[in-house]
Amino acid sequence: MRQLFFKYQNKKQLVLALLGTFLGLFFLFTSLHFLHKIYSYGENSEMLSKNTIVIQKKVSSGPLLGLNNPEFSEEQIDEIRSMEFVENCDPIRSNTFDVVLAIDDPLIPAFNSNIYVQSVQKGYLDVNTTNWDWNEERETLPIIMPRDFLMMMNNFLSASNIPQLSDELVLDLKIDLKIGPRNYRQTIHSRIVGFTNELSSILVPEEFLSWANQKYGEENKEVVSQLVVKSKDGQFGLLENYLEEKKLESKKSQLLIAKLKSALGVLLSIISAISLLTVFLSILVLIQYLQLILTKNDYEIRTLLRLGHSPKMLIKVFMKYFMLLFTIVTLLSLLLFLPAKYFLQQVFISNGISLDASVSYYLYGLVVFVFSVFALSIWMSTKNRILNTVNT
Amino acid sequence: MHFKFQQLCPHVFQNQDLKSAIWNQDVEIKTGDKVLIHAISGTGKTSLIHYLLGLRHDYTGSIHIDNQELSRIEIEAFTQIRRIDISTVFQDLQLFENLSVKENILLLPEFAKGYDIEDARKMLDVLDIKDKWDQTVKTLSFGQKQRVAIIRALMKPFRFLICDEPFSHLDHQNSMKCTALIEKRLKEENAGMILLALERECTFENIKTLEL
Repeated sequence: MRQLFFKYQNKKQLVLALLGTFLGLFFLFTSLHFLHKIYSYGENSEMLSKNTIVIQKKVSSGPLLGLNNPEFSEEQIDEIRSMEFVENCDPIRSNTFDVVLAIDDPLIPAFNSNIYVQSVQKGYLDVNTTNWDWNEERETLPIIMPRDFLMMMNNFLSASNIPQLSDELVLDLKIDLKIGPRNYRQTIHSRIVGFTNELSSILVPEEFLSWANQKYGEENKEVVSQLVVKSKDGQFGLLENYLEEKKLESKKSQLLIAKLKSALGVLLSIISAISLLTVFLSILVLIQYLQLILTKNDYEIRTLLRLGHSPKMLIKVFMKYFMLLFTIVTLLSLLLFLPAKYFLQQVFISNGISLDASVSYYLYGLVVFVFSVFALSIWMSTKNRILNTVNT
Repeated sequence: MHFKFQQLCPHVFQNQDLKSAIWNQDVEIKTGDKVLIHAISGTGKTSLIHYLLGLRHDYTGSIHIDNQELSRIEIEAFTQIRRIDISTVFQDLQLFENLSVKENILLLPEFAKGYDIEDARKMLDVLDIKDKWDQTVKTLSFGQKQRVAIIRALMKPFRFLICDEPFSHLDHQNSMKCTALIEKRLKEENAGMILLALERECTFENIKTLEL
């Protein structure tokens, strides 16, 4: 029966419509996937809680001249705490001992660097508190890595022609912190539990910093040059005004990410809209082609109905043919989407944006939606036409 | 299976004073009946077939199939009637020109009980067109096509065979061969027949004639 209906038809229009559907679906899958990933970028990996920022005094030439001290005094901290829009404010503690970060992992070349570590109270972190505990018996130390560090590492890898690291891979890296004086350093095995854009140092649990400062640090060396501040809900703007007034500053990376997300989001939204339009126009052309086939097969359909074939069965023949073509085109679009996704993912990583590698669940919803719209359109068009032919 | 026509009249004849054994009459065609409906051109022969097959409803009065009013039969139920109860040889044959004879027969929704595609080939042999089996229908003469249409109608199950001028392009010898084949199948299916023709002379035996 398929031969009867489709063999002698001109396939030019069909091929063009299928090509349009293929390209439309490919761009739609790609843009929608990245749109979702860009919008959710940083939402799960940022370990500092909502409304929480790190502040410091604006750097000027004052300290060099002894006019402007970058340290926060107890009085200054209390003043910030007393502001009605501030929920909490605490000093960020730093190490007073030497720390060397060593990465010994087959994924990347051996890597050693002097670093400094800091800690904030648990309440400021979006991290499972049981994962954030530390005591001397524990084998590994949980740490939160600054995203700048990951970007720096990826730039280094890229320059060395080595594949870059996604967030997922970094979480599996074998990292050691070597602490204490050069001649009797202690090695602490560490594990990254998340990333932050707000700090440029590695965050460690408070218990560890207290223990290490006491054991290896220099007394009276600890200074407070950064504070972590959490504003009350909806009062972040007041906190920003206050910072401006008091010549304090916070890291601008969050703002940059927001701008980046916004710009990419608009661009991807436009691509998604154009792709969706392309898909619907192509579906329209496919339906037109179906109508043409139905018209050309009017005699055949009428005869088959007169011989006793049921309208339902004939509708099924057309449905099967068009759904099969649409399924093939959708699968091909998905097949092309996967390498394209991988390629774009690498481009994002090389620019310091490590997006979640999993396929966006929006994509599954989109496939179901487009399929349903197409199936419904084909079914309605065929049903109306064939039922009109039954009584002729 | 039986047909009952009650005061049946096509809309186009409503204002005419018709003298017919069918139009504006109460007529019954019972199970197993063989009826020749003799009609001259323009008396509504093809309209009657279309009414019987439920293809048109532009008439007054009523048609009953097994006591069911035809216009009230649902699409799916009528599909079953066309599939199992009625087989038709159309005047314009209704064959698929681009397909072969074999493919045309294979497109039947159902073969008669005990019949398969090889039996169609044997019928072609009986009607002297065995060599046309794999040929596309468009390459056949009208007489050959007519024989293919008859075979296709006989290959499916039926309780009534409706034939609209089935021998119009056949010589006497081929008409006799077709008649014998049809008679055999009518017996096998214990079925009736409505034959519509322009001539009164008929190759079938024991056939009742009605003037349209």
